[in-house]
Amino acid sequence: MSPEREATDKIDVEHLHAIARGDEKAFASLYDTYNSILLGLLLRILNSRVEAEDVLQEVFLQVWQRASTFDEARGRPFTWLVTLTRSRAIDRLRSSNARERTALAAALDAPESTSDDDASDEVVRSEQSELVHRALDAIPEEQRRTLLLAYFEGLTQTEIAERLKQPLGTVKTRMRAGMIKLRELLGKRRGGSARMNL
Amino acid sequence: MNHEDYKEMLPLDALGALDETAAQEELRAHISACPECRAELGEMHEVAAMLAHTVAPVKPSAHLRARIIEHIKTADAADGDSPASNVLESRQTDEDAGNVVASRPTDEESDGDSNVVSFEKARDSRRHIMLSRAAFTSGAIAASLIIVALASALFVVWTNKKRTEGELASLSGRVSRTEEELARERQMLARERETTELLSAPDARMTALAGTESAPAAHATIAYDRRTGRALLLASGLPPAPAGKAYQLWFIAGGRPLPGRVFTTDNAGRATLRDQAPPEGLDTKIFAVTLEPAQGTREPTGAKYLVGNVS
Repeated sequence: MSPEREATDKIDVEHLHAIARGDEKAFASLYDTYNSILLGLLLRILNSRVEAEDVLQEVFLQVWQRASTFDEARGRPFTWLVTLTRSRAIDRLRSSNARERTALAAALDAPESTSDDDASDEVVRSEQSELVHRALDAIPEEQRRTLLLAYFEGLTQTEIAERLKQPLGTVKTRMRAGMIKLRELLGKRRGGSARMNL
Repeated sequence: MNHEDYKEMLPLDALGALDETAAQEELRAHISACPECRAELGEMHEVAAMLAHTVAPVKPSAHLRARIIEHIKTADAADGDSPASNVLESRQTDEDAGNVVASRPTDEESDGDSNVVSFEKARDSRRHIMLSRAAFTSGAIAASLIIVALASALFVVWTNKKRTEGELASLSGRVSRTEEELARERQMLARERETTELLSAPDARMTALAGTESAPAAHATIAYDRRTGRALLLASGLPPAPAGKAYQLWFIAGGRPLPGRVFTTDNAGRATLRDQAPPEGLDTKIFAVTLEPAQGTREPTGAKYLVGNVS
């Protein structure tokens, strides 16, 4: 892992420990660091600004209440935050009217690839984002598609198989292969050119 | 299932893609007993979380930060389970203890004043006992005991009152939060029901709207029930509307554009709009979206961004 990222992680860990002790300043700092990336993620999943901001609020309230359960031995603060955010978003997606979009998209069999296109049109990207985009570009399209459907649309393996009209076994294999390849690519970059990462 | 089977499930678990089955429970049990799988799952979560970097960051509304910080303060007062509330509780106890030791409920309400007097008296009499114990009659001892007892009773009443007030405040905070949540749920349910009704209406039609030269990347879908005039527009790829401007939906029937509602997009260029066609527009043949002054207009004045013919 790059020294920069280690340093960021260290600050985040300190913030989370302070939040667990009820430190509002540390909480505000953590919010300032991550609000935009988390809201971007929520918007991508929920397609509604109102819903996304609402869930962002829920997420940070949970951070406040659960900071004491964070254990740096088990992973990075970034991963903890993103995992929490995504899971709240998927809960909301499954229970709310954000489902309308999915229902409509399915009804019309609308192309699902807009996300990749949107992302690749982005002009300014962080180095971290550059890294992940390059890694995603390096894995086969059919693997990438399954990963994105699961992560951003909240579909399960069976739902993905139905959506793509592919056998369940094939879908599982593609997802597994995609994730393992992605880990390898992200890992290699980390070791190979540390300056690429933040 | 064996270790290898479980290990194969981990990448899918990190993506949240496993189906809700009994196998998942078995997987959880295995993970908690298997350090190798635990480490592997941790790595897979790291990889999955990196996917968040593929999305463009979006700044939340400015008021959200203040609202969240306000909320954590309320959460402290209302939620007994949070670690932060423990801090508050211990602060409260310290304060109570301080009152006992220093006998200085100075800026408290009127019953606090009597507290000061009684404590001063009690302390004076205690000092008196120390100085000239022999001089004390049993009557004086009895009197000072009564004063101490009264002071303690007052103190107990005062603390109880404080505690009850605190509990009441926290309860009413909780009630108002629950009411808010309930209202939100209801609203969401109503909207969902509306959508389901619209989508399942026998006369509902889907119409695709394509982006014009002004916005080639834009597209939208309208679900429209010509019997009731209800419409649900889902648009994406629209550029952000400039300040003072907003998009407006038009129902074009008999060659005449009838105004629909105005709307704006989120930062990703997406929008969802519910609308109701005017009675004379039920037989709409064309849907269009134009850019107009933010309050909307009666006649279209701005450029067309999306157009679609009802098939």
